[in-house]
Amino acid sequence: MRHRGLDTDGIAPYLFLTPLLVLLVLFILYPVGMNFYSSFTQWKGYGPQKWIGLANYGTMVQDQSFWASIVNTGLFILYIPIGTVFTLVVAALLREGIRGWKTYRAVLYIPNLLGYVVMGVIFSIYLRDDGALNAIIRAISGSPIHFLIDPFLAVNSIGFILVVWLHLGFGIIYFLAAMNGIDRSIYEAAIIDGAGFWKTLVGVTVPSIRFAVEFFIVFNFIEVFARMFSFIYTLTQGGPGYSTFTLEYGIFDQGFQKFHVGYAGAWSTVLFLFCAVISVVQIRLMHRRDA
Amino acid sequence: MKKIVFSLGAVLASLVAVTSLAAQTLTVWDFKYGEVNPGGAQAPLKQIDALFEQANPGVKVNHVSQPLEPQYYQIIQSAATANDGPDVAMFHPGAREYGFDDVLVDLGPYINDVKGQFTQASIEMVSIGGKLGAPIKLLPLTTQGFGFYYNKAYFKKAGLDPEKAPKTPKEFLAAVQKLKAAGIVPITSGQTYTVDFFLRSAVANTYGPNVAGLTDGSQSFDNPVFKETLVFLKELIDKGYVEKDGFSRPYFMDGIDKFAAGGGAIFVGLLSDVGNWKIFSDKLGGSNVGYFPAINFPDSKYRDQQVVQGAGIGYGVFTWSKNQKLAADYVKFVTTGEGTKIYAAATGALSPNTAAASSDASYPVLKTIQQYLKNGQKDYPPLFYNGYEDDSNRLLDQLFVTGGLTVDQFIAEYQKLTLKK
Repeated sequence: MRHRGLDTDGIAPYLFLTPLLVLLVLFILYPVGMNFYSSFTQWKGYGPQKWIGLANYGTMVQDQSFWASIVNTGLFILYIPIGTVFTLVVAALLREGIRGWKTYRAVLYIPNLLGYVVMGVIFSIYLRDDGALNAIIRAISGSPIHFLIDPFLAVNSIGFILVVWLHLGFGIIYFLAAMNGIDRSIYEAAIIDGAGFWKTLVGVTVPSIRFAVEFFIVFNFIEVFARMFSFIYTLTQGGPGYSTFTLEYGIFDQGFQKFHVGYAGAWSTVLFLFCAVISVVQIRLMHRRDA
Repeated sequence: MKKIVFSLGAVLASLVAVTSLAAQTLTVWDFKYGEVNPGGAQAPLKQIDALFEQANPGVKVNHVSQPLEPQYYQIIQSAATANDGPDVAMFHPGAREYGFDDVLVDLGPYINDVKGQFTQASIEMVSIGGKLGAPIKLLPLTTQGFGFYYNKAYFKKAGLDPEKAPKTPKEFLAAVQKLKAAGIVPITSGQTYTVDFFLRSAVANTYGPNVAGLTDGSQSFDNPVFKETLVFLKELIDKGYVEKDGFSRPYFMDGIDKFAAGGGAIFVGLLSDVGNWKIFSDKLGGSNVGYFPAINFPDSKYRDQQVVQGAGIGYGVFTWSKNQKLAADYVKFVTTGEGTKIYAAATGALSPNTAAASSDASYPVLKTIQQYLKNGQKDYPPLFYNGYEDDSNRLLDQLFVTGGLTVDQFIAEYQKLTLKK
C-alpha cells in the first residue's frame, strides 16, 4: 500500500487544513485545556491563578446545587423517550395525509423560529401564578397551579416544554423527510398483510428510519446537557431553590455571577465528560451506518 | 524657508494641544443610567454631568448605560481581564465591590477635603473588607435599607388605626387578618425579595449592634428570636397573608408597581434606588404612606432597629484610567454638594452625605424614616462573600416557597453559608 504524504501531495493538503486547525486550537483545544487547568486553581476570571489542587472538586461533591443539577439533568433525560415517541407518532399521522397537514407542520415549527430566550420569556409570563394560563385554570377550578414555584411542577414544566414541545417542530420535519425515503411498496405490502397504523409505525417506519431516530435521540441528549441554559435563565433562573438547576446553569452561576471561575471550571470539566461520552456514542452510530 | 517650517510646526503643535484638550473624555459606566422613567436616575445624572463639564472646561463626560446585574459585573470583569475600560463605574458597595478591589483606585488621597461629610457607616462599607482605615475604593451616592411601607387608606378601610403601625407580631397578625377579611391583599410580594427584605429587617432587630458578629462566629443564626421570626413569616405565607402570586413574577419591579398602584396594604420595600418612600408617596399620596422598620418580637433585646447599608450604590475609579485625578474629581462631584442634592431630590435616594440631608415637607414618611435611621444597624448579606445573596435566596425559597426545608434545617444550612468564602 502506498502511503500518501508530503512526498506525494506536497504541502497543499496541510495548507488547506491550517485555517481549520488554527480555529480548532484557538476555540476548542485551548479553552478546554485552559478550563481543565483552571479547575485546579482559585481564580476570579482575571488576575493571578492560585493552584489549589483538587479542592474545587472536593467542594463540588459536597455542593447541594451540584447534585441537584445532576438529578434534574437525569429527569430531563427521562423526557427524551417521551419526546421521541410523541414526535414520531405526530410525524406518522401527518404523513398519513391529514387535511391541512402542511399548515400543522408550519405551526408546530414556529417555536423553533422564535428561539429559547423568547420562548423562556413568553412562558415566564404565561405560567406565572397570575399569568394567562392560570387565569383560565382559576376560572375553572378557583385556584392556580403553581407551575413555577412548586419544585416538582417547575422542573417537569421545563422538561416537557423544552424536551418534548419545543423539539416537536424540528423532529416532525426531520422524521417526515426521513419517511419520504421509505419505499411505498413496503407500506403497501404491510397494508395487504392487514397491518394498522401502529403496526406499520413500529414494524415498517421506525426500522426504516432508525438512523434518523438515533440521531434525534443524540440531538436531544446534547440539548439537555448543553443547550438548556438560555431557556432556564429566562424562565426560572434555576429556581425555586435549586429545583431547576442544571450543570450549565451552575457554571454560569459560579463563573459569571459569583466569579468563582476556578470552581466553575470543575463543573465544566464534568459537563465536558458527559458531552464527550455523547459525542463518542454519536460517532459510533455514524460509523455503524457507514459500515 | 526656516520661518515657514517653524510656523508650520507651531500650527501643528497648537492643533495637537487643542485636539488633546478637546479629547479629554471621561467615560462612566452605570447600571442606573438606563432609568428614563420619571423619578429615574438618568435625568439627574445628565444634569450633574452637564454641571461637571461646565466646571471643567474641555472635559466631556461619556456616561454609558449598562445592563443591570448580573450582566453588569460580567462586563466589569471583562474590562478587568483586558485591563482596559471606563474611567469610572458604579458599584454596589460590599461584597460586589470587594471582588474588584484590585482594579479600583484607593480614593483616600483624593477625598481628604470631603471625607468628613459622609457617615462613618458609609465610609466603612466602601473601604476594603468593610474595615475603617482600609483603602477607600468608592464614594457612596446612596444609603440603602429595607422596611415595611403600608397604605393608610387600606388600614382605615379595614378598621385599623392608620397612624398606629402594627409593630408587634400580635398587632401585625391582627392587621393582616382584618385586611384580608376586608378583601384587601395584606402583603404584596415581589418575587422572594419580599421574604429576603423581611429577614434583613428582622436580623437588624434581632442582633442590633452585633450583626457583624455573624461573620466572625461571635453570633449565630441559631438564635431563638431569629427562629421565632422564621416561624412567624412562614405562618404569614402559609395562611395566605403574603400574596403567593408574586413569588412567580418574573420581575421584582412588578411587585413594586402593584403596591404603588394600590394592589396591596403592606410592602417590604427599600429606602433608596427603587421601591422607596418617594415612589410610593408620589403614587399613593404623601400622607397616605406609613412606615416602620421591623417587627418587634417580645423576646428580642432590641426594638425598632433600622437595617441600613451605609452605602447603597457608589462610584469608583479604575486603576487603568489615564485620568485618575479627573475621575476622582468627578466621583466627588456626583456624591457631594450640588451633585448629591440633585440626585437625591430627583430619585428619592437617601444620601449618606450629611451635608445633603433631604427634608421635603410634602413627604411625611421621609421624616419617619429619618427618625428610625438613628437606630441604624448593618445589613448582613453584603458582609459575606460575592454571591452570598444568591445562595441565601435559594435557601429562603426552600423554606418559604417550596417547603424543601424545615425551619431547623434552614437555620443549619443558613449558618453553614456564613463559613463559605
